[in-house]
Amino acid sequence: MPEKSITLEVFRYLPEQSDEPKYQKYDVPYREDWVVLDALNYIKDHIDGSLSYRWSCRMGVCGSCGMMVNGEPRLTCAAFLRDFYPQPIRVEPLTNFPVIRDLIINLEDFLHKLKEVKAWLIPKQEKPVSEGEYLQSPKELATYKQFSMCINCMLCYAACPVYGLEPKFLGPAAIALGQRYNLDSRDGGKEERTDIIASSEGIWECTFIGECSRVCPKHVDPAAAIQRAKVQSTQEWWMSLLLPKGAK
Amino acid sequence: MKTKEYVRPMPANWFMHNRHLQLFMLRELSAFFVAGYSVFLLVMLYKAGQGEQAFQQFFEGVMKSGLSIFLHLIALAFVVYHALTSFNAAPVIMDVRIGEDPIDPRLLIAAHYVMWVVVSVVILIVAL
Ligand code: SF4
Ligand code: FES
Repeated sequence: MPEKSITLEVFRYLPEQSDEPKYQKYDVPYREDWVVLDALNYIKDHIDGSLSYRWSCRMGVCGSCGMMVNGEPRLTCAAFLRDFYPQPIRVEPLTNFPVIRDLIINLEDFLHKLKEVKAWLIPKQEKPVSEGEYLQSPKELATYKQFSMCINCMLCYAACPVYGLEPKFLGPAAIALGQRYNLDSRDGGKEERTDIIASSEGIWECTFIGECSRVCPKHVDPAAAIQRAKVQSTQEWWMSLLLPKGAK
Repeated sequence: MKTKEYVRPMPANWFMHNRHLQLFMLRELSAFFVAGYSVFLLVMLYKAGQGEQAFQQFFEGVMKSGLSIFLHLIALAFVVYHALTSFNAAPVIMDVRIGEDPIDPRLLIAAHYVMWVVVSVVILIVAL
């Protein structure tokens, strides 16, 4: 019996050859337990070594294998061929980002935004190592844990029409990660982050479409982080208006 | 060496890309009807302020027309859609917890529906 196969239509962009991308078809063996990334690796190893893409862990942890699979942003290491077979699968680089080559996007903008929101712990009070860890109760952990599950895969940026239309928008993951630290009981950097998070290019750019949360492979729910930050920021604004200066 | 990057512009009909985006646009559209009907309610209030006769005239002349009933039905559909989608979004916006665990999102949504019914009944009682 001839081996079953499945067709991948892959976005190819080779800037040294042409200014325009093209789609190239590859027939790869079909296996029940293969994911799209396995098929790409098969192409690279056996059919066309010139195909470029990013990946590392192959288990949904590193966040580097995000691509458009039939128009949806997916981790290709978690997108099974069997969900598409026998139809062909179209693989493209994540939308809303410039393409460097084939399936590789330029992620500078996202890295820059992570820096802007200061997505790291800014301790309330620096203490010497000899004083031990910064302790936290399970209840305090629960308030931000969900937002800390982000693997920086940028699927949410590819899904977000607001980011597509206004690239200055800070975007789902960066805001969720900013909130992850804002909500951390050990953190004291909220004020430093507020300027950027509560700016017009931050939470107020978001129109609550919700695509980010729908496509997020880690159930981070960035849309929730953003809407809750809006509520918080509004409350704080009213408080600052109603309460006399100095009171908090 | 840095090579030229390829930029893909957003298609003008991006909101047709999938069903979720289409429903989102429908919700955005529904906001016009919510705002429009609020203005209409203000006009009614203004007419009521002018006395019973003015209001009756307005009621008979404008409200009872076929066009008005048609527009009311469309506005009703959009306002209901707007309200339901708002209720369903409540668990995303509100982080309500008992101890460490967030409460069941369905409970939060149900609470909104209950409130809706209660408010509607109160309004009905007052109006009748
Ligand atoms: S929020 Fe979710 S979709 Fe966005 S980068 Fe993090 S893990 Fe990926
Ligand atoms: S290869 Fe690491 S997340 Fe897919």
